[in-house]
Amino acid sequence: MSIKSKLQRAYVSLMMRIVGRGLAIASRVDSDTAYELQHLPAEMTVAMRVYPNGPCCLLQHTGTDLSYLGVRDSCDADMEIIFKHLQHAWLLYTFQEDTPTAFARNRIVLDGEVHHATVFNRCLSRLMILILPRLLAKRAVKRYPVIALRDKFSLASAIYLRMPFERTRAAL
Amino acid sequence: MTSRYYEFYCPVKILAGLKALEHLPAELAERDCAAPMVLTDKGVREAGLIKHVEIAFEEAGLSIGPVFDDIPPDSSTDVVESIAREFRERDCDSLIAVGGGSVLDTAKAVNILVSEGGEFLRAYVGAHKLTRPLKPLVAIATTAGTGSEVTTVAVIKDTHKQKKDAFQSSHLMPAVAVIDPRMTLTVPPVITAATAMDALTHAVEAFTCIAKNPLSDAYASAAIKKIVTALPLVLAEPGHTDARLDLAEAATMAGIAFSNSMVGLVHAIGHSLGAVCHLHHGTCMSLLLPYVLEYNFDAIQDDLGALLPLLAGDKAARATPPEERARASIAAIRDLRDEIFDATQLPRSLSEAGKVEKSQLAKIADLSVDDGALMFNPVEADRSDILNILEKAWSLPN
Ligand SMILES: [Fe+2]
Repeated sequence: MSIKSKLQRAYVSLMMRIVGRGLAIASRVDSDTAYELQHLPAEMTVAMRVYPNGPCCLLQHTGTDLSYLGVRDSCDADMEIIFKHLQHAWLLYTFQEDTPTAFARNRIVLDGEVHHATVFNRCLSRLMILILPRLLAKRAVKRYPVIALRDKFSLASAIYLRMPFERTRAAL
Repeated sequence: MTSRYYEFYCPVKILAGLKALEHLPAELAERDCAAPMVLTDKGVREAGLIKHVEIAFEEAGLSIGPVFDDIPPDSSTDVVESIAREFRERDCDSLIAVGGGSVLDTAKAVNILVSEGGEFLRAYVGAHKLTRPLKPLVAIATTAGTGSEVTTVAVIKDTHKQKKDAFQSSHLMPAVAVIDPRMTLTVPPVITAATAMDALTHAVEAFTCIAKNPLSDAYASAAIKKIVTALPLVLAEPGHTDARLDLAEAATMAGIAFSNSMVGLVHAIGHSLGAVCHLHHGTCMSLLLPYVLEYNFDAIQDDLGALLPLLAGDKAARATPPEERARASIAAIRDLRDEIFDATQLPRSLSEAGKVEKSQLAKIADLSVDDGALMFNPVEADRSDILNILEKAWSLPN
């Protein structure tokens, strides 16, 4: 592996830890995320994975919230969003490309049910909108919504402040 | 460096034109198959269309084997599972599907079970669950519209959960698609119009949504031109064989286009509208298309403008200033819709359809946001945006 790939892998894996923990926290502190999650079956596992050897971020819907199960080299989940190459995950996590575009350009494949992926994508977009500065978030989602700065700030700080304490939980 | 990238895939062998059906025995022999099972529905059988297939096989000294003609318009996992059992009992080795979308989807789903094994479809729900080629499936479309003969998707109702399951895999594509003008000749004008509008929507969405690519664009634009030219001819003269063939070819081309570039918001809403109100898919497409194009307008203006010569003719396009072409394209689609209404009374609005209650619109919007097609729409749409579009599509402006 080249140094560039090693660095990209380290960055992607760090971002996956942030996004994974962020989603888990958002599922508890943000009512919009919680509302979306009702549409996923309880105990369903969800992964964002780079083909073929990871990193892979694994989450589980407990029925009430999302559990962050950690970032690993490999995983097997009920629904997987698979980046066909590390470079594609890099594009996404450096906010050069949003998820729909990555799907449209065949850089990501879905292993699982499509409507679960649409729900998960809405949670992911919502997280980006909450935790990223507006300029970055605009590049990470299709449409940046009208959101009161005060709401954004209080939710973002709730998510960031809890992040260091968010445990990696065991699967149900 | 450009970040452009796309994939394009269509491994389906297409037999199109005069006596296309007569080539089927040779196509099966080439795939080492001698015992096909024919799947169809009662309507197709009563219209005498299976006869054409039977004769094609008799002339080659063969018989077509078991015919299952009881596929309902809204096929289900129970139907699929019982056909798969019969397929195994009768030692069949291939499938011939003769019909519209439901028959083709059923055949694809049956093919999963008889090729992959297992009694129940449940194990294969979703995308990319199939890992090897399936048995040869021949698709003979009798309605020119769905494009299912060249797509990777099958949608089947789960009998027990009362919801629709989608199956997606490149292995679901038929081995052979037959476009024979005899097979669409008897379709009533209103169904011809609805299915043609479905095909037009596939092409327009393929051309304007975010997964478009140069190859899908080529198929989409050729399909649009053919539909716009041939549909009025068929409506004026239903026995116009050449125009019928044009429509069927266009539906297949539009199918190839959207199978590679996906569809967008018209389909996301249309799927939900069809599911909630039991409205024909083509009707849903026809009455939603102009409103969704208006919703997407800012993002698709250039693409839409580029379609004007195909939708309204070169002369009209040249006479329209570039900045007005996108609007003119939508107007041309509305004109086509109105022309179809005059000829067939195909509904132009939700209220005209007569099957939709205003109280159902919220439910339709709720379902639409979970539809996979939304991902590929160039403009984001949430529940309230979709509700807005539905309100606009409710009745025609005076
Ligand atoms: Fe369609």
